[in-house]
Amino acid sequence: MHIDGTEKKWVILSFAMAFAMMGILAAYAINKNIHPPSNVETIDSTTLHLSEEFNEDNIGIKREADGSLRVTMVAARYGFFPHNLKIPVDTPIKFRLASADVLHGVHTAFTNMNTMVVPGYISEVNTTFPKVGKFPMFCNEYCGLGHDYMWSQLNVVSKEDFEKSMKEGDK
Amino acid sequence: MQKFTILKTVSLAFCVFGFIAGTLSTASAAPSSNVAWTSETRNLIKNANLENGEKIAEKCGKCHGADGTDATPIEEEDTPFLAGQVAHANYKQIIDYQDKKRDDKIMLKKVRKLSKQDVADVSAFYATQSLPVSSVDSAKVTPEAVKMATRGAGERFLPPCAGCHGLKGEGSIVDVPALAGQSVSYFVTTMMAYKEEDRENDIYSRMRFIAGELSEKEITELADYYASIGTGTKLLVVESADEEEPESEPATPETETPDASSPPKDAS
Amino acid sequence: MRAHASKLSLANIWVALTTFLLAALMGLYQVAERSGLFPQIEVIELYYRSVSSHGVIMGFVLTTFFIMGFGYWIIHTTLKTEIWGGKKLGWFGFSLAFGGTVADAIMLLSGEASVMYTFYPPLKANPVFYFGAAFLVVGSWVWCLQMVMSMHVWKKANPGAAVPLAMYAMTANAILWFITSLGVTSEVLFQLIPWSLGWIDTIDVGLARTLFSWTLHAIVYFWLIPAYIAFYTLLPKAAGGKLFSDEISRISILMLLVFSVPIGMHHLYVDPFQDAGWKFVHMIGTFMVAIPTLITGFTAIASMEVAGRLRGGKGLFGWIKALNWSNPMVLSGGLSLLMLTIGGWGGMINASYSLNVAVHNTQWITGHFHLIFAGTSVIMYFSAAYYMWPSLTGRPLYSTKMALIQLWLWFIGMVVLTLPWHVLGLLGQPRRIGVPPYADDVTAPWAPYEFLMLVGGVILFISAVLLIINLLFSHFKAKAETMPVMEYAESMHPVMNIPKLLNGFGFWTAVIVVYMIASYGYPILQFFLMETNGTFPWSI
Repeated sequence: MHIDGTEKKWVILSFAMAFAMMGILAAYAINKNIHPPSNVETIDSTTLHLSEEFNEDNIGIKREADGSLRVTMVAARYGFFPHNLKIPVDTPIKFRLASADVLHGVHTAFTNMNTMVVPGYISEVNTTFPKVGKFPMFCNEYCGLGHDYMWSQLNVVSKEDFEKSMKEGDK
Repeated sequence: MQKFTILKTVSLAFCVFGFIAGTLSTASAAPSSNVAWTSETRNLIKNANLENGEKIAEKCGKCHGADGTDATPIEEEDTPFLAGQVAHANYKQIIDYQDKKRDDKIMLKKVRKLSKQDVADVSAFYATQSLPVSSVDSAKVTPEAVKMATRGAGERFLPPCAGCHGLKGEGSIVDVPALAGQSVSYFVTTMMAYKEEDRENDIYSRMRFIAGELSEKEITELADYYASIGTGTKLLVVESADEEEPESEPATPETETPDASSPPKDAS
Repeated sequence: MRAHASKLSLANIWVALTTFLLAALMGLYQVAERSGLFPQIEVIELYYRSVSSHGVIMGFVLTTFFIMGFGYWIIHTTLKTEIWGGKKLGWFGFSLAFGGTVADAIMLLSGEASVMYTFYPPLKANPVFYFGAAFLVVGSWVWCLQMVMSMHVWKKANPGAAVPLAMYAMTANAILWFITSLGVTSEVLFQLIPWSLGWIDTIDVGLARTLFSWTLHAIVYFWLIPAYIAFYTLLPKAAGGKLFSDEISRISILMLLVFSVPIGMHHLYVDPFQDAGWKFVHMIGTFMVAIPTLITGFTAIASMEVAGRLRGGKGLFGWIKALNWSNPMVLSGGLSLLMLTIGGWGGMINASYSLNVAVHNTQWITGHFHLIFAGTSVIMYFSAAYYMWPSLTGRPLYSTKMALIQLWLWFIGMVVLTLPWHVLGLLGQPRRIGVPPYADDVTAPWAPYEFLMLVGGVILFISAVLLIINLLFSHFKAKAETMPVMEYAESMHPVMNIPKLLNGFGFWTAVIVVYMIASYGYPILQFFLMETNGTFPWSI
């Protein structure tokens, strides 16, 4: 079987490029612990408001026993609840989301907080927001006639401002 | 002697505090409704006995009108039209009355003795009726109201009412109520109750958020809009594509697709 | 024999072309609606009806029918035999697929199936829609059988001979389509149909999405391989040269065949119901499947260089100038490769395990697949149609000049449409929205790009109309004196002894099955091992 010399070089180069890219991704994934949201936990979406984790008193931002921050949210036609969240900059945050009805997606624009919210499953995203500002949080998966309107604002504030608002009882 | 008095005062203070805290916290203690649309609950409505429902509805007719469309003059703003209402919507509200998630002494008295199946039966019965006819001339409806109902106000995070309540105000899956032809006064009363957070049985505060964003003027205008699009026809939510419009045996709507085949004429 | 083959091919291709024109009109409506310049057409229910119809037509109808037509003509013109199964089988398959398409068209256009091309549950369409989709796919399986058996019979009659490359590659495509469509077919038959009819109350959305992801990636290779077939077997001929390497082309096709199905989970990167480990495995396969595209790029460009130099081109780039750019196949080849280059690198970002979150379900994705599919692949469908038309119809093409203008307009329109689209995604705009109704400070940066997209959309629609006019009017031209022959490129180095592995599919099919079990086995099985909570039907 005859293969041209230049073509052979290109084939090898193509393999090399593919492996190099895979290698870089693998290195980042392993070293910096960067993984897409993949927690595989089930929940019953029909009884979400009666569940322990996603009932109405429990949604919002809470400080865990170990000092870390957890944001519990519900995606339901057509909004993310609670609306208008305030979170501190440069702080690791764990988002826990569930859908009360259909498939949704949530993406805080210009950040890596992006996940599907699948009825029957809990989504978990662990991330840190490095910039202060107001970020739109869009539903990015078609969920019905109100999909266009399903959005929220994520308010990333300084750590001091956040502590103040926690004291004042804002959620 | 002194110690005992102090103890008594402190205990009393705790009791009072506990009582106040208890009363206050029941208002916001989750959940806002016990109704969850599990298989079990859905089957109650799916297997509803419409004859039983009709019998029960005779009593409701005293206030809600013989066929569910007249509200008596006495408490008009507190008495909704029930005719043509989405079965699941009615079911949820009645159960919420029973569970005191929705606070109304009169309704509690009326529904307290109904079993869950009874509630399902009467809800399914009302759903077989026609929606109320228009009670407001469409000329009275403002373009802003039409816009809010059909296009919402995205910058205020408000989806169009039609997004959930249906393109023709016919309600939607699962327990989103029909608004078409609803009485103006009841609409306003309800929305203001959500706005002031007197009514709290909307899960995740979805309606409280929306009503909170709307002004009283907007609410009144929307009430006119919905009162003007009453159709006088049966519920537009149909069971399946091949189901006939029934004559004697009324359609029992389930959790099915609304007829979204044509966009609202007044969408501009 | 010729009459049947040409009739069957033309029937399939015309279904593709007419539905394409309808979908192109919808595309124009959508891009106009999103521009915000025409408030009267901003009817959200109509918009979603259009997006669903446009997606299903472009993704399931245009493609499947065009590829079937192209495949039948390849059997006739390369093997020069009867299409296996004869007239009855071919028309039977066509009727099934066409019937399914008509049913779906009615559902989609009447708003009973506004559930997008991806029809993700728990949004439920009218059950007829799911039946229609099943018929369309099963009808196409008849075509798959005919491709495979026609090749098999020919091999028996020509022992040791190399299966003509176009036939080999299209049969690979048929096998690929069969294997990949099993995913969506399972979802439709075992989940969506029973659920939409009310036979089962709930379905597991995680399982449904996993099954759909099985189909979702390789379907794009089902669409892309015919473009590669044109690159390998038609383009060098049209350019006046030879195919650089027949064997490498076969290896490339086989790599696509093996690596395109078991990698679907990169469409599920941010879905919570699959473990990161499996996503990582799929990522590896996804980068592997980039290799045959890189190789194809080389082969195609090298073949063109050969042609250019044969025409007298000198120096490093002189051969480019020397090529016959007034030949529609040559022009489309060049334009397609340009779009493949940009779109391909975008795809690498989507495939990136950790970077995908930056673009998932933003308009970057929509821009990407329009560029790479509507651009790279579909422009080659146009030129393959122009190339086949004389031999198919027995008449010359209505206008070569119109064809050249049409192809240029398609390329320009596609670039103007999709590059701003990518930017919109990076500016945060989510997918599947009509006129963005968010706050002004959020949407203001998007407006100029939406306007550019409208310009692109208008250009594309004009191009679509020119395509149909050209192909339609060709039917009314006077018959050619001698029947035009469909000519395929020869290989630079004639294939003497073709290795068995590059002339058959038995081994490779086994490899795919093993790879599929390894990469999708547990991810699907898990849903039956753990306790999941199903979801009831929801309406839009």
